[in-house]
Amino acid sequence: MKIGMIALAVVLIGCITGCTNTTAREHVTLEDQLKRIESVVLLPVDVKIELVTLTGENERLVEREAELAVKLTDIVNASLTEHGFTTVPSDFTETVDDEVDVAYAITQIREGFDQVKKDIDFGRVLPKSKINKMKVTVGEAANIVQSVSGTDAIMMVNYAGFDKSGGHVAKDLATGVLVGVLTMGAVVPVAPKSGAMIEMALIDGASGELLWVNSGGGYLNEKLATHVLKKFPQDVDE
Amino acid sequence: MLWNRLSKRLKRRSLLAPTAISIALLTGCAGTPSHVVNLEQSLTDEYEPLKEEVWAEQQADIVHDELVSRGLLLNAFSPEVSYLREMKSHLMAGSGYGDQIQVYLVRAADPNAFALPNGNIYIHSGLFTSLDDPNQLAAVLAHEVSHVVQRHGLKSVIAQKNALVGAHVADLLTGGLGLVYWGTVASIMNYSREQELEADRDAVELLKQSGYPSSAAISALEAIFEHPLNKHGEKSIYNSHPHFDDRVAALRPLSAASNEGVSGPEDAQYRSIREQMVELNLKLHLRHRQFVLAETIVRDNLGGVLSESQQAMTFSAIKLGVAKYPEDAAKEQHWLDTGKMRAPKALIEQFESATDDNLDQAIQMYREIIDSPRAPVPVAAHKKLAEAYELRGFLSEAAVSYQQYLAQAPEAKDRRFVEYRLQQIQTK
Repeated sequence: MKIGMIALAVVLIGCITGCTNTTAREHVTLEDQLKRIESVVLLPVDVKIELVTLTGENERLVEREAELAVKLTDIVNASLTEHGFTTVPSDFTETVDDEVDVAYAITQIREGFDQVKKDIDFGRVLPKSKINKMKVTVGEAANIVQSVSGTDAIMMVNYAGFDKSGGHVAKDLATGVLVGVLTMGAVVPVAPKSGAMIEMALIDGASGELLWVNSGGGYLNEKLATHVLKKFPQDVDE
Repeated sequence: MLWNRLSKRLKRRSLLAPTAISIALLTGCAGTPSHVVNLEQSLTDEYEPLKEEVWAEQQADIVHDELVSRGLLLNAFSPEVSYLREMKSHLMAGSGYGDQIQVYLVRAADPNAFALPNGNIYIHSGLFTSLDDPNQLAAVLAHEVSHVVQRHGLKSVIAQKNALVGAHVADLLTGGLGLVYWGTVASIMNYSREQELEADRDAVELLKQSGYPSSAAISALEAIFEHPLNKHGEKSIYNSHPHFDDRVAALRPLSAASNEGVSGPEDAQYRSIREQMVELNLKLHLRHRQFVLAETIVRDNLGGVLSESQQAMTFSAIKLGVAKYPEDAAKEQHWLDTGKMRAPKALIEQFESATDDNLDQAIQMYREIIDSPRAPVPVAAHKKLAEAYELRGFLSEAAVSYQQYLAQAPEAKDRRFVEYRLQQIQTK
């Protein structure tokens, strides 16, 4: 009975901590920061989907990338509005073509983000009590983008996915069967046919500091964005 | 029962026979690199492009679009790109198909260049740090032109496809353990090395035809291989190329003949362009926290390309950068010394413990720049000094320096960033 109660307690604790653990991170003074943030511009969503083939002719699925980019843009902009922010349409497509500086500034923001990931244990699941200590900056390039858009903050979304060709799926299947037979059924590897990862970051346009970030992995579709945005903060009025 | 017999057979016999047969069967059915014609032949009306060719060109176009959208290509109308394109036109003057090849300049600090199957050649800004004169640049460009003309990219795609199909089959036969892939990768790299040697040979011929000294082919290689990134031979990212000694040995008899004494074009414009590119490369190194690589450029000072002020600013920025990012500085040092990515904890701690000293040195260096009687003082020195003061905990001094920066650069693109830093200090 005592062991049963202990086991039950362990299970319950596991459930509770599992519910409050998260991959999201928040600025150490998020609430104060959000008081200054009214408007947000979404950078061109960076989508990469690769078709992995048996012949090694891996290729980018550019049409699928474009379709998904539109869907992700709509989902993120809608979420920003729902959370109380004003979204400003970005004319970065034209700007990127005419003013290389802005395109390069956006690249620098992405590079700056990659550089600070290790400082915030990005992607790791942490208890909620440990996620609100973030104070890192992607750098001054955020100012260039902010000066073009006129917004208080910048939203960045990176999405990377893969899809396997029929030949590759068949090869995975054959390998799985072979390994399963050779191990007498002890190991039957099942390789996924497709998958995706998404990263999101809300960035202060003045300081370049990360206000909120989150990431997630799952199926190759736009629903991943909805899932990750569940942890997005509500805007705070001054 | 079938799988039991197969597994017993695998234990008794060598794997080479079934692997070789499978690869031969599969690769025999596909196109081969020997089916690929060169660029000139592909431009005739009768030519039917291979499906791999169409695919490879599409992928190359995607890569190009990616480089454009990320702002990594310098403006096509800039003096630097115009210079490169004039050089390309000169190299290909006798060919009649020079317009099939376009040259672009990439914002990338490593000394590299590459060609894609769609006829685009990309020269890294980092090459200008390594190459001393325009003849060496012409040699690199001629090498890349050969890759396009000989369609090495397309041949590699076909070779890789065939090799990978064979590797997949062999992998299946060996229980999905991936053991066969290593040999396959080696065979792809050997093929690539042959292409590199061919491109070297073609480059020498192009240089001779265009009035450049053919010795530039060797001196360009020597200049590039002196770069710290090429220090680790087998561990280097440049490992797909033949070994430096092999390439030079192959080039010596070719470049020794005929046109010694030819000096090539005037280098005044090259020097001016090199100055711009070196400044860009230094910014890139500092942004990517590559402090040793930045310091190497400044210490060499490349025949006086950098002014005294630029040198001083860069040395100061390196001190500040190492203080801000000691772990990255340690990792870079370790990688350049050993070729290994993971720096030992002791080295990281050593860099971390030197943070205050580095900040103090950075402060002193920036103060010397600002107080120097030689005008003009770079405005950025005030901002960087402020940053150093702030990190060191001297907040009132930091505030003064930030204010001086804003007063001297009212239209600065990073004005809001600096105003935010000032506000943060003033609220503490």
